[in-house]
Amino acid sequence: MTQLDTPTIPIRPVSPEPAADGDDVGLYEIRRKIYPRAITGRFRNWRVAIVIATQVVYYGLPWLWWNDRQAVLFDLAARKFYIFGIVFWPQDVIYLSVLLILCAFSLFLFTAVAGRLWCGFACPQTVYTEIFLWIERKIEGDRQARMKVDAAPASPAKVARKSAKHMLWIVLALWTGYTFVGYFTPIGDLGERALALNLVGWETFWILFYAFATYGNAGWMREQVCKYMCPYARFQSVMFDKDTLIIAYDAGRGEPRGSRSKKIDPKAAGMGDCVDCNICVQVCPTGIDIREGLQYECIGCTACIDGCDQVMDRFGYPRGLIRYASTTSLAQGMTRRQIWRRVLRPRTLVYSALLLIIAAAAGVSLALKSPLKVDVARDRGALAREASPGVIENVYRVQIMNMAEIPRQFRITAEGLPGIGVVGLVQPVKVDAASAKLIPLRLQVAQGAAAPGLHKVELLIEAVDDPAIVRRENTTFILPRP
Amino acid sequence: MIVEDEVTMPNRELTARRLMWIVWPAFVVAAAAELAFFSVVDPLDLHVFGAPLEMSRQAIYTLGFFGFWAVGMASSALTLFLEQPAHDDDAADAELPSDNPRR
Repeated sequence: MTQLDTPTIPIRPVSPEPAADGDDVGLYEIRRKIYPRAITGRFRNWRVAIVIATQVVYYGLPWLWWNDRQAVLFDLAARKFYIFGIVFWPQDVIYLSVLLILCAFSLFLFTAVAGRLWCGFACPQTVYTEIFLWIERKIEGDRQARMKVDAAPASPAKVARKSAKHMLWIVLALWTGYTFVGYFTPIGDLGERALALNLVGWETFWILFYAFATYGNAGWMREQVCKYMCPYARFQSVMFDKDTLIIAYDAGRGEPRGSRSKKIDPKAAGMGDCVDCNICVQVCPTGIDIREGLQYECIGCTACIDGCDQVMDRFGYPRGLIRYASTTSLAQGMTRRQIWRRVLRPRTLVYSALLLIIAAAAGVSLALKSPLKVDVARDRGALAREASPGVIENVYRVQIMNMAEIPRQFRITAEGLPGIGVVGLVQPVKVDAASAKLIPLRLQVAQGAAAPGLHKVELLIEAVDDPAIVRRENTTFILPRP
Repeated sequence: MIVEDEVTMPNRELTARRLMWIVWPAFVVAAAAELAFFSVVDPLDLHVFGAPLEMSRQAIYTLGFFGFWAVGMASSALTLFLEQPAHDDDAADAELPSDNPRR
């Protein structure tokens, strides 16, 4: 095996400067509109499948029902998140942090294994650009036709096509915005009120805002979001290493490139396998030439792989002149198996282990999540008072949170001092489904039951229907000097 | 329109880019701040000048988001402003007397 440090193809991990072609003037970049050419192939099928899957989930999820309510509802008004059988309260914010940590580690892991999989397949920016491009293609045609339309002077036909495209884009964007708000406020009700033009101001605002962002990002901004706005695009290089699978052009095999007849033997003619057809450039949604090496603009969408494979097929050359390959594999000419073995390396194993541990811990914690939470606080007023001769009373404020989606009854008792008892409370206490109840609680103890001072006592809150649902809360009882 | 061609004025481009540098990072930070702040603070617990806000939670969330966004934009704008050199060296040097060694 040769040493790892000798790259045989010019792969640059990241290039902060824009390529020096005539369009770039220092700091200012004049954007040349990109007309990605449609492509078919195995990776494209994957991408379409993922676009459909993510959007079925996104548009469909708010319409699912569970326990007579929306299955997934982030009810901001009530500060409760419903996700199928689980209700999250503000106290459960730790799970949100855990979720974000899991997302971050997944991103690290996927990026270390195969580069920008997220960007190329799952990022909403890519997904909506794909959908918007699909509409654009249906109405204006493929790359050549669109370029012709744009170059042509204004005509009724052109205006009609452009308006139709924008109308469809806007309708889709509005539906997307409506769905987005439907995650935060019951979607059916929202739809009825939208039709009756009876939305609350903030609902209207967020629907329009999200629709505008979708329309702007997927219709107009497109690759510029990835190139100039996305922080991930800039720091992804630190997650790459020499064994990361990236989309690479095999320069050793392709060069010297050149157009040729199908009949000639490239080896005899002293040519590489690249026929210089520029398909890889035409299909690229960010408008780069992958043959110049890995660039930070590359979102890993694999369109160039599909494009190049088609051309290789046509010429009868083996596929994979552009392919998923690691820097090491290109340098050493590794087999597929060797490449896959390198996927299991310390970095990915550590990420996977951390992911598994955190996910398992979160899963266990969720499974053991008690459907009852209790907050006990001493009343801020009097510390202790004599309720009747020789009887000392302390007052508390107890909040009983019934996290379950059925109404429950709870019995409250106290322990820790001889003869301690709960008085003046109608037991059991009824608490509605998924709601909280604040009750004033009075505890009484006879004056001589213990020495004057501060005593630890324990409150026991127990569900009547299920003794397993029980909380023990520590608090204090003050016995004053007689 | 964002469709550009060779004759687009670079200055407009630069202005657009600078606006993006101010608005966009502030938006991302505002989203994070909103999430962090309102996951621990109930909007109905907020008091302004000693009096509770008489608005729905959603209205306060929305206002809060724009508040965070505005603060973020102010910070980005200031960063962008300070990032620029305090004076243009070439232009300033051109005004110096011809025997000044800095020229």
